[in-house]
Amino acid sequence: MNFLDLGRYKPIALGLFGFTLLIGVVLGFNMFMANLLSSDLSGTRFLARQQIQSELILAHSHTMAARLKTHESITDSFNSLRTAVTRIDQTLSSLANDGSFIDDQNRSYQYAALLKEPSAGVLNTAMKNWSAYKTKLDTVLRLSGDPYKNEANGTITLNERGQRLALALADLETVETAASAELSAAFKSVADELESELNARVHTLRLVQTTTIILTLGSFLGILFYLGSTMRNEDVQTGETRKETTDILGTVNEGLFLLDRNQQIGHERSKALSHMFRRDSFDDMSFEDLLRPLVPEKTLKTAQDYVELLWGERVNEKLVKSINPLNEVEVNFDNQAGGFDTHYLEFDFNRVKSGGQLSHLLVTVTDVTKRVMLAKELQESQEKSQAQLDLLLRILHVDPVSLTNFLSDADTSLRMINTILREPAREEADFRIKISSMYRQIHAVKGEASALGLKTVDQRAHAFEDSLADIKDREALSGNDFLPLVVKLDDLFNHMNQVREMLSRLTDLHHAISGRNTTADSGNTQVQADQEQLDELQSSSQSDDRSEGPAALEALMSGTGLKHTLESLAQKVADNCIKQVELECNGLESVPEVYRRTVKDIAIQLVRNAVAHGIETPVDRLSASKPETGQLSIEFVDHGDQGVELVVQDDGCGLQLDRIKQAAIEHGLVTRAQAALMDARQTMSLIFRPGFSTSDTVTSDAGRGAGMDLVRSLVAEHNGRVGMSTARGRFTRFKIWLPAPSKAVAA
Amino acid sequence: MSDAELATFVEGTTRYFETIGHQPASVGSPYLVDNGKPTVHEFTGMINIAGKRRGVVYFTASRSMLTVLLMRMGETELTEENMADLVGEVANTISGNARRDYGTDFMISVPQVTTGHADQVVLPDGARSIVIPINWRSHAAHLVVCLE
Repeated sequence: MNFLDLGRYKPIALGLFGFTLLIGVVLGFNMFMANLLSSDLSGTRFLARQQIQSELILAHSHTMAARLKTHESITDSFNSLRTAVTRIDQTLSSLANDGSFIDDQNRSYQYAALLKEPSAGVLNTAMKNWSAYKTKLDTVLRLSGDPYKNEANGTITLNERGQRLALALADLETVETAASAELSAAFKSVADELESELNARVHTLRLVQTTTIILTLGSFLGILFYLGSTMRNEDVQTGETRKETTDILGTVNEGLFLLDRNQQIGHERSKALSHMFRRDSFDDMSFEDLLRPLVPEKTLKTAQDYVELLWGERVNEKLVKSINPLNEVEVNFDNQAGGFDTHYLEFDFNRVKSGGQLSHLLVTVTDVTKRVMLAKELQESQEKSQAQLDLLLRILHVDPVSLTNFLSDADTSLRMINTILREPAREEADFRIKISSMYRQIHAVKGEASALGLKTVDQRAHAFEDSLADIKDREALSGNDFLPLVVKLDDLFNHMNQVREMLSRLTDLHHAISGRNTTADSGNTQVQADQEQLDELQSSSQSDDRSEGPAALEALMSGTGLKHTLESLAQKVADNCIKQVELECNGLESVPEVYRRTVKDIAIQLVRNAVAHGIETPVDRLSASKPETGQLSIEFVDHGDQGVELVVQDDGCGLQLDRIKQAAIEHGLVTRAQAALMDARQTMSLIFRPGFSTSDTVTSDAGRGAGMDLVRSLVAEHNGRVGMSTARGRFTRFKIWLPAPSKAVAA
Repeated sequence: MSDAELATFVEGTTRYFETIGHQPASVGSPYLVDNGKPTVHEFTGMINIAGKRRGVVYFTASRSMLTVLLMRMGETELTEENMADLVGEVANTISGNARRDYGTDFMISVPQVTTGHADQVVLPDGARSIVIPINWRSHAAHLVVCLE
């Protein structure tokens, strides 16, 4: 700010300056007048004393005359007379000449007034009289020296000088009384004149002082009036401005406040701020204090860093604002129920400059909860839609009946896993039993998901198996080890719900298409085919309860879905293993409902096993003089009261007993000595042991040693039997026998 | 929810027993409950969580277990207040563990204690709960984690 740029204080400053100047001038004048008066007083006193000088002349001359008569020394009186004469002469001459004189302190005085009448006349007359008087005095003063002589007789008499002096004194005596009186009167007159002059000056000084006091008081009152008036006007203006500010701060929906360099919140704040932050007082509160109870530590640190950045002098404000990390801050307020009320706030910062320097940050807080919630819902909806679209694309390639059955079976398996988990367990043995039981369930889910091409389910089931495999190898087990399992199970449940929801949407879609198709060209075979499939889907998806209508039951019992599933599975595993296979299915449509799931699960495991382990690669097959494409057959035969039989046979390399023994030894299932004693049948039975696998690596198709264990346990659940026959390099055949449906054991 | 997050809550619970009960607690086999009515015993200490995850974590224990625990602590006044304080302390320990590991991402409420009223335990709509049995001596309490 410029020094002379006083702004609204300019009138006050000028008033004070004038006031001070006036006081200074008056004081200076006073001092000048005081000096003058002091001088006048001294001069007046000096002149008054000159009256005495003339009387002193008279006294000294009389003293001399008396002493001459008594023959005393007259030296002192003579000298005093000379001094008095000289002084009067000098003073009177100087006064008459130019109105000046020098006092006995050698201070000079000059008064122009004495050159004017009546003083000038008085002084001239006095000068004339003094000249005549002084002539006689000079006669006396010329007779200096000893006026006595000593006679011979010892007496003292006047000598000639003394006699002349006595005569001169006698002559002087004739005029001196009158002359002295005139002189005294003249000095008195002059002194009176000077006193009048002095009084006039005193009067002038008093007048000036009175005027000054009046002016001073006037100026003071003027300044007071100006200040009062200005302050009143400013108060009115400030009041109006403040009211406007208060109205704005009380009405605006945003939270407004200023932050200083120490991140302290300013005193002026909008009313909305209290509502937003659910507090009445922000006094002595910093930005950190405001946020700390509401946001996680990470967000708080981010906020502080960003605000710190805004205080940088060379910061590009637009650039910094563009990277504002606080445009969507989640804040959580404790509610009465002990939980949190979540809101989303947007913090906007504007740098406030004062005098070219950054002084504050203006913070604008906006509650963007509704906007954020809408955006989140939209994003979730989009993500969900995208996930559902992916699912939809997969589901559309899946046989509807197989999919519905899978959902039902998978749900059962997952619930079974949860039931297994829920069984109380404290000892390690309890936990180990759980592992093998869960293995079978999840393996079935994984197998069918893989067969149906539901990759997302397959991957999740595989991850669950990974966790099982991980904890299975641990030496000591506790519930802690099972925590990852329950998390993955939760994820599987959620995902299966998504698939189910997707299926439900497809059903809705079907309704929409059905409505349109009533008016569409009935000759359009493709549309008819689609509708038939959706019809099937609808009836299947609505039939969680297997006792529903005959149409649904018929669809569920259809072997077409299973055949399709197995063909897809065989092809998929063959592709993964770089093999070629051809699957032939017979009698699957006659699988009784009571065995539907069991046959499906067994067939899936055996098909996967056959392609992964039995069928050779095309190169190996050609070298073994076989067709490149392996043959795999599945046959289901209903023997009535004699039970049912599932036969799965491949023309692959057959079971390699040596390799089976070696794998069993490596997996710790048997010792080398035990293996050596095993015959062919016992060796082949090893493949049903949990954890047995001849595969060196774990893939989604083989390696865990769970598939054949699942087959064994499924057969055992139904009191069935498993038969195997194999010939090296030629075939492997599994015969699964299950009791007649009427005697089936509920699984 | 991740395995590590779940492990943090469990570790907070077992650590409390090891420190206060002078005997470590073992973790039972965890399982899921999706009917919105998970296990609630007579005394429940609960914390609410917001931020990266939202939901409820609570520790619930029976009177008999808390009685033994109080006795092991040398407490002679086996009052309901002391039992409520115990479950509150367990919830507080869980909260402290969660703050230590995930304080930068989570907002964690002050622990609340309820006694015997299952309806006071309000879970997020539609969320599945993970129930973890906490076995201590011959008693079983439960830690329930229900996060969206």
